Amino acid sequence: MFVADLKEKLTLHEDVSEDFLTSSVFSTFDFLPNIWLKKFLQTSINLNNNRLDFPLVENKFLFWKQFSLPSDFGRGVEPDLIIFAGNTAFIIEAKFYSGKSGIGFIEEKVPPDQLKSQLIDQLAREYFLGRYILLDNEICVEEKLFNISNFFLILITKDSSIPTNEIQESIDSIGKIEATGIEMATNKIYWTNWQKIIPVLEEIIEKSSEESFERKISQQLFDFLDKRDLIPFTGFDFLNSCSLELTTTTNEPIFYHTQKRTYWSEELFKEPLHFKDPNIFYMSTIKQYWKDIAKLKCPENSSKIFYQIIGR
Amino acid sequence: MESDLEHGKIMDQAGKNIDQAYKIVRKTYQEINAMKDDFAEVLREIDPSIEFSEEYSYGPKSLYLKDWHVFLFRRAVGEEEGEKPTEEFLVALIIIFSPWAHIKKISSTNGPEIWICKIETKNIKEKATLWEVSLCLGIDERKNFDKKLEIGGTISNYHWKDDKGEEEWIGQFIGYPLTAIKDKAFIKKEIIDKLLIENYQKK
Repeated sequence: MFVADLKEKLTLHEDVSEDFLTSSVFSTFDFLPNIWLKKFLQTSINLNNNRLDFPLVENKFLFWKQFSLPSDFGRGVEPDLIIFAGNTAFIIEAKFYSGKSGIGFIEEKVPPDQLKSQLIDQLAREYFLGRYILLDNEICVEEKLFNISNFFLILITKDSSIPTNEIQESIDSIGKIEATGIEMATNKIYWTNWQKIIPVLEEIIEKSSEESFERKISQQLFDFLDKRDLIPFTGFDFLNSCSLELTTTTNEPIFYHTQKRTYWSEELFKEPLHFKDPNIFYMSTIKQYWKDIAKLKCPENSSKIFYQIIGR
Repeated sequence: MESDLEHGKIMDQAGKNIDQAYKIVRKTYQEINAMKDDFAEVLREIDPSIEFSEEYSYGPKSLYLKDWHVFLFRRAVGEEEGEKPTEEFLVALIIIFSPWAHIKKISSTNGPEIWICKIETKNIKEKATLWEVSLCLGIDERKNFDKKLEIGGTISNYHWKDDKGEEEWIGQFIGYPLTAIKDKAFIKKEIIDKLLIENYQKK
């Protein structure tokens, strides 16, 4: 399901699209046993540093559903996803490169010539969706009824740590409408990041058999996230073992050629490789050079490195 | 002349080499950026006002390996009131892949190394630049350290004052082989705790 993306068939817009990211990640979780979604969502924390905990139950996903809100709580709202699980609704707001849509309030003209403060803070509106539309209501998703008695709002970003200011702004906005709501909002709004999916996928891959569906789809999602640099820090051990085995005389890892200061220059491809035109791998600003590079049987994406290097 | 078939085989090997090189460069930058995020998180736990400020490589992150790469975190005292800061608290990560101008690696091993520094500046007229911070590791600056710089977790103290005795930089530097930086726990215990926890006061 990710092949077109992994093979670079999509546009740049799709590459950085948070909707595409959201649907890819959660569609995958929808296919996998519940335990893996639970493991990921349980990485969420709130501003009190409490970790999200909930029972493991069958769930249904509702993507990009629009809701109207009572007029005091701003205009309508369209969370990226709501996961209904037992008696709990998880409202998911996913971000990639952009921040939340709307902060605080705006003043709007209402007839006759009056100004009304309108809530635009996205997380605050989604909190009120949980508080006044979902909570204590019966919700039907794909012919299954959920009696919602609890809800959580989860912000997913690529930040390395909880975006305290962003969440606090939303809680403050909630407090301006409902002073008593601050404590509840603090306990309902959670955050996690995309990077925390990687350890979950690694566990699936490790525990599943090679040909299993779980392993294949998890590996594809892993590659999908890796392509977007949504991976946690795992150290530089790999540099100790990598070597291109370029020539018969040296076996040095490519970065470490401290004396010659050559990364991608002629040393890399001189010997023992024999090309029809030995110059084609040299650093060059000649257009033909790049055309020749493009003809090589490189695995996809690989020739990109040269386009970057020429900028040095 | 080699046949097209032979040529194709050779190209396949070249393609493999390119692919391996591509993956290593990409992985290196992924890890560098992820490491920076972990540093940011650990720093934030100590003092949220120390913010990520800038990095040397403004180009595409993935595949543009320069000789050295720097991340700078900064807390400018006074700036929050809209004033021009007269002192700053800086934390920099300086990754050296290969020598560049005055900046040379400290160790003689082949691998890249990382230097992390904490610097407090006083009576400054302008905010310190990323270049100025990086150049503290330059050969010309070695005289400003209290002892010879050593890789492997030893702290060296840096001190510089301008000719008029006004602007002053006081810093501590700690360096490791880049491959020693294994995870966030190492960053906290072996770097931030050593550099910052002792004698650190929030402003």
